[in-house]
Order: sequence, then C-alpha cells, then structure tokens
Amino acid sequence: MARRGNMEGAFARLHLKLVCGIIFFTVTCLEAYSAFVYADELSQPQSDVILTVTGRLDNHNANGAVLLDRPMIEKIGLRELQTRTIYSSTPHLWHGVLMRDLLDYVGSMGEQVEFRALDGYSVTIPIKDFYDHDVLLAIRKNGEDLSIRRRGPTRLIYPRDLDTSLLDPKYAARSVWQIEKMIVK
Amino acid sequence: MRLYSRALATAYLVSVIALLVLEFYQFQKVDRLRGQIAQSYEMISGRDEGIRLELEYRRFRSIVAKYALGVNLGAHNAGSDEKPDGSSGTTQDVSHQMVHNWFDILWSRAFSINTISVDIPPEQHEHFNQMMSGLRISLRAVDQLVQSLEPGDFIKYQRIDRQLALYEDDISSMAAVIAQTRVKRASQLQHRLDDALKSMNVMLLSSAVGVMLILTLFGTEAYRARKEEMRIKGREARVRFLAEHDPLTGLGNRSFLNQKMNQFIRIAEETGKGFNLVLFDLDKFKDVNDTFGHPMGDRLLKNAAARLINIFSQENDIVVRLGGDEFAILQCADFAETERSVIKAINALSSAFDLSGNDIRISSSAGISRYPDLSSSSDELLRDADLALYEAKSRGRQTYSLYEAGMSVAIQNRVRLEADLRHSLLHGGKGLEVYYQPQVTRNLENGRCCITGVEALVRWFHPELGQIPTMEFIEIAENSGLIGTLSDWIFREACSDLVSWHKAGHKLHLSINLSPHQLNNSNLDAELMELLDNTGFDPNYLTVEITESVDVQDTRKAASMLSRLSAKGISLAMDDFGTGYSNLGYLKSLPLNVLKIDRSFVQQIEEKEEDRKLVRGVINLARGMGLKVVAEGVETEKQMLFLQAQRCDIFQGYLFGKPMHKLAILAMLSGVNLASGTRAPEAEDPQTPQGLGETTAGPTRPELTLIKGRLR
Repeated sequence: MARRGNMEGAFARLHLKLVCGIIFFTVTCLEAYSAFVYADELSQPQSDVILTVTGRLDNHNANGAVLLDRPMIEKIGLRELQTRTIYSSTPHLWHGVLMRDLLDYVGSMGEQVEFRALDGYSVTIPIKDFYDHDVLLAIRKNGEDLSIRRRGPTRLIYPRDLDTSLLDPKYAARSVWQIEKMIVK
Repeated sequence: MRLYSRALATAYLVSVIALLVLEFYQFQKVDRLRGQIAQSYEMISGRDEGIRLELEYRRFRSIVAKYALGVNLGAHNAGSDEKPDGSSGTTQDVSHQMVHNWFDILWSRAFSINTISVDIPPEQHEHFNQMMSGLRISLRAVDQLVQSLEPGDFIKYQRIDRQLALYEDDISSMAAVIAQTRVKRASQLQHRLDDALKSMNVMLLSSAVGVMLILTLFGTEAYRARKEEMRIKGREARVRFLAEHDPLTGLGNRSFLNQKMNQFIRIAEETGKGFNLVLFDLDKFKDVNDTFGHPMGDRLLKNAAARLINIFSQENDIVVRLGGDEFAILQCADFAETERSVIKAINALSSAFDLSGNDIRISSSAGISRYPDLSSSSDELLRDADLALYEAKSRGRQTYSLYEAGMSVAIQNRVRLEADLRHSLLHGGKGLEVYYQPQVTRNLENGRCCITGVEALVRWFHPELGQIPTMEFIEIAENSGLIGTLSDWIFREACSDLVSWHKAGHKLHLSINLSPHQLNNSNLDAELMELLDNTGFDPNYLTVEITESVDVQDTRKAASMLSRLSAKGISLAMDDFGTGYSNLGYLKSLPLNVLKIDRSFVQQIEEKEEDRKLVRGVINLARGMGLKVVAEGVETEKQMLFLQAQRCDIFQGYLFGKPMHKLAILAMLSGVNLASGTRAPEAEDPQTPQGLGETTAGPTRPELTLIKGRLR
C-alpha cells in the first residue's frame, strides 16, 4: 500500500510538472506571437536610405530590417557634441543621435553591433560602449550634413575630449566612418 | 623543538610570500602580454590607412574604367571587398552613382592621411608625403571630370586615368613597404607570443611547484602536529590515570571516587535508581605495618584490594582506595544486596592472608550510606558513610552499619565541642580547670595520714553545656590535634600552682598524665624542661604517668625520650597497671619509678580473694623491681588497711579526697596536713566552680574536724 501511495505521489508530482511545463510553454509562445504580431511597425523612409540596421531587432520596417533616412534619424533625438577626433587636432561640433537611443529605437536585443562601411571596412563593437559613453552616430559636422566625401553619411564619434580612457588605440579602430550598415548580434 | 617550529613557521611565511610575489609578477606579465597581443592584432588588422588607400585607389580606377569603357579590368581589382552597394562589380554594370561614391571614398581617404603612418620607415616619409600631396592635387584636378564623366567618354577617362596612374607605383610601393613592415611585425608578434607562452609555462610550472611545496610543508606539519597531539594525548591519559588511581593497588583514588559518585548521582537522577557507598576500614592495619614492615603492609593492601574486587565484581561496581587502609565501594543496588556483599567482604577480609609464610589476620569495619534515600550529595554520602563506619567501629569491629540520621547529631556535637575547646585554649584556658586529687601516705606508727602529692586532672566547665566528661573532651582533643596544647596548658597551670604551694612550704609531688600522642613526640623532654624552667618547678617533684597503649608508634623512641626525662630527675609512673596487656617486657624496658594499681582491683579487695592475691602479687612485683606502688580508688578504711598491710606506699581515692579545686587543696593543706587528719573534704560542686573561693572555707572545716575526731 505504502509503495502504491508513493507511486501515486510520484504521478501527482509528474502531472504537476507537466501542467506547469505546458502553461509555461503556452505563455512563452503567446508572448513570442504577440511580440511578432504587435512588434512596433516603424514608419517607412521617405527620402534616400542612408543607414540599414539588421540582426536581432524587435522593431523593423522592411522585412526584419530597419531602413533609415536622414529625417528619421533626426527624429530619434538630435544631440550635439564638441570634440576632436583622431584625425583632427581642432574640436568640431557634431550633431547626431546617441547610439543607445538608436538601439532603443530599433529595439535591439543583442550584445554587440557589427558596423560595415562603404569601403568594406568592418568592426564589431560591444553595446556596452554605448552605455558607458555618450557615443554619437553623427550626421552633421559644424552644422553641415556629412557627405561621403566628408566621411559620411554617418560616422561614430567617441567623446574623446570628455573621457581620456577613450584615447586607447582600440577606440580609433571603432571610430567608423561612411557607415552603411549595422548588424545587431 | 621550539627552534624547529619557529624555523618551520618562518619557512612557511617566506615561501608563501615568495610565491605570492611570483604569482603577482606573473599576473602582471600576462596582463602586459595581453595588451601587447591586442595591440599587435590592431596593427595587422585592416584598419591601416596606407593599405586601404591602395585598395580604394585600385577599386576607383577599375570602376571608372568599367563605367567609361564598359569593360572589366580584372587586373585592377585589388581584392574581395564588397562594393558599396553590396553587389559584385564584375558582372553588373556600374552606375554613375557608384563612380561618384567611390571617388568620394578615395577622396576622403586621401584627405584624411595627414601624416604617414608608423609602418613606413622614416627615410621614406618625405617621399610618400610628397606623393600624398600630389595625389590630393590630382584628385582636385580630376574632380570635375569625374562628375561629368559619361559612359564611352574615352577622352575624359584617359585624362582621369593618366592623372591617377602617376601614383600607381608609389601607392604600390607604399603598400609594399607597409606590408613588409607588417611581416616584420607579425614575426615580432610571433616571438612575443612564443615568449608569452614560455612565460606562461614557467608560471604554470612555478605555481605547481609552489603549490606542491606548500602542500608538502602543510602535510609535513599536519603529520607532525598529529603525532605531537597523539603523544600529548597519551601523556595526558597517563597523567589522568595517575591522578585518578592509586599506584599501589591500581584502584581509583579519592578524586576518581568523587568523579564516579557525581556520575552515579546523575544516573540516579535520570533513572530513579539509588546506589550505596560503602567505606571499608582495615582494623589494626597499622600494627601489621609496624610489626612486619611497610612492604608487607603494601602486599596486604594489594591482597585485600583483590578480595574486595572479587566480591564487588559487577560491571558497575566501583572499588577505590581512599588512602591508608581505607577503601570505598560504589554499588548501584538496593540496600539488601549491598548488605549481603558487605557481609561477604568482611568475612573474606577476616580470613588469613598468607604473606611470605606469615598468616596475617585482620578484621575490618564498614559503613554504608545511600543515595538518595539517606544522603543527598556526594559530600554527604562520604560524610555519612564515615559516620556509619565510626559507629560500626564503636560497636566493636568486624561489623558494619548503615548510616542513620541521628549519627550526624553526635558528630555535630563533637565538632562544636572541638571548636569550643580550641577557642578556650586560645584564650588562656577559659572554662578549663586543673583539679588535684591528693595522694597520701600513712604513718604506720600513729596511723596519721599525710598528703605527699597530688595528681593533676583537667576539668572543663562549658559555659552552656556545663561540665563535659573528661574522657569525652580528651578524646576530642586527641583526635583534633589539640592534645599537645591542652597538655601544655595543664602542665603550666599545675606547675605554677605547685610552685606557689612550695613557696608556702607545702612540698608536694605532682603527677600528670601523658597521653600516648605526647609519647610520640620525641622532643617532649626538651619542651617539658623548658616549661619547668619557665615556671621554676623542681623536676624532682614531678611524676609523669603513662599508660600501656598501642597508640605509641615507636616504643623505642618513646623509651629513650622517657629515659632522658628520667635523667632530669622526673619520675615515671605506669598508670592503670593491670588493665592493659600488662607486658612485663614493657615494664622492664622503661625507666619506671612508680606503679599505679588500677582502681578496679582495689575496689574488689574486700569481696574477692582473687583480687587480694592479685594486688598482693602486683605489689610484690613492684617492690621486687624497686618501684613505688600507688593504689588508686581507695574508698574505705578497710581497703586502706589491707593495702598498707601489703606495704603499699601511697594511696589515692575518695577516702582522702576527690579531685578538687586548688583552693580546696590549699585549705586542706593549711588545715588538715598539720593536723594530719585523713578524711579530705569532698570537692565542691563542680558545676559551680565560680563559687569556690567563698565556699571552700565554710563547709569544709566542720567536716574535717568531725573526721579528725572519728579517726582519732
């Protein structure tokens, strides 16, 4: 009898586990589905696309990717930053959006971002950088939109003048220009 | 040993510190290497501007050619870099936008190289700087041409390409120089990596060695500590055993008993089962020691212990030796069972011990106390068993008794008397009195009696309990070690009294009893002589009385001490002769002067012929040995006359006077001695010693005259 009681107990526990598992699975599926269905549909670019973001994103406007034109980037929240870069000995005034704001906007779910430039250069930067520092995705220099010739249309500006730890050579490699594409990983 | 452990501790400390320093140094080194490797990686990665310049230069030229001529110039395609629009440029047509973009890319590159990078040897900096400024001028020059270039416009293309072709060699050689530097760097990096790996090896090895060293040291130390601990434990166990056991019999000792008793009490509390404590005492064991020597005594104790263990052989029975000839037994049983065992043990101990051919017989007594019915703590158990043992001994030996509540009252009384006696002696003998009993001789011719001496006897009038029987407090004094002090006090009092009487013209002899305990004091003669000197008493008038007693430990020593006393002129009397074991050898060995016949013989003279014969014999014996004879307890004239007929010299007894206060003696001396009357006055009521001074003269006088008249 005692043995049977034990087995009944084991069954009860197994049953409980199964029920819990099913409930958990269902909830997870529902969440994923709702995330898929109710993922924020971002607005479509109206003018030339200057930046494409792909990878692990919550939000998108083109088949899992986010295409951005200049006004869309400006709408995320334009910030300004006065700093030198590795190529200029005089400070310039940069306008752009904070990288973390942009990542929020696209609903980033990754740990790092691979940047690809027009000339084929690519570098992978941990997302931590953008939360430790006010890293700017610049679109204007001294009030003028960045052209390709002027290392645009977008480039990363680290606030070197505000934080000496950014003088480390690895940040020179991360100061990408002529950014064409970001892949959130 | 201490030096060794100190050296070991220092070695630990040094090796641990050395290892820590080494590890710290290694960590720093590894950290540095990590930085170097990261930097080297940066250097050979694609970030470098010179190489990117060549790539973009060639890419632009190929794209321009394709755009203008519609041909694929594969030779100019520098690499596998993807095109800005993500498509491969070899198969698809090239748009004007692409040309534009790549021109801008080349432009931005050319204008961003301000200084020649570190990859180029310094002597070539000048050359490449010139090349760069030339390239910038050419780019400006072809800018308009590129903006307006259209497919098939061969002339414009030629002008563009001619301008750019100027730099092909220089850009290539710059890239080559850079590549060469890169190769050097790579090999340097390889070296560094090798070094780093070697260093890592060393570090791992040293760490391993260090860990092994430390582990070995600690292992050795742990082993040593364990050995040391075991040695200490062994020693402790041995010390504990010695502390709790009697080395002779191997039984536990008093502290072991106490420990076990507390344990038994705890068990009794938990289980409700009582237990008994039995104290055994071997009677007359001291005699065995004295007669056969200590080694024999020790063997007897061992055998006795073995017999006890045989009888109390249950698992929980505890047999211990408390010291001397005293054993204690703890038995967890009811009283009846313990009683049976005790009877068996007493019987077993009374059968003869065969020690080296000697049959030795001893008897034993036992006292039993019981927890929790009769006694309620370990101290009480011991005390009560002791009381019961005392009781058993006083009932005659070879028996046992169980503790009863009344026993402790008796002992308390004793304890109180002892304290009071001590107090009294400390305060000059308050409450103590020396009484004197006259010793007389009778003139045969005129029948007149004359007081020739007195025996000093002590009396104690307790302020609350009244007169304490002399035997009782003498015993207390003997057992509590006060006998010496008491005896001193009596001697001093008696001597000073006698000295004052001598001065008054009454040359009396003084007899004083010596206790057996005093006989054990081999220095007694010196102390006594000093006392006599202090009081000024003539030793020729002093007689000390001794009894035959087993309590004298060393008879030879005592005899020699008595001889010294005798040599000083002090007489020696044998008291209570005939009641002890009347060892004639003892009589012979001592320098005796006087023999005192015990009152028990004198009292029977009138009724029994045997006693008359005995007394006659004793007196003859004494006279034969040249001893004076004193008859004690003479109460009637008939007794006196008989004794005188046997030529007894001196009489002492109620016929002549009870022991009395010194004032009464004085009165007697001044009145009776002159008149040589015989019947002394009765001593005053001893209960009222304070009244002596006034009452002495009054009632004694008439009686004296009356007796005087009668005797005449």
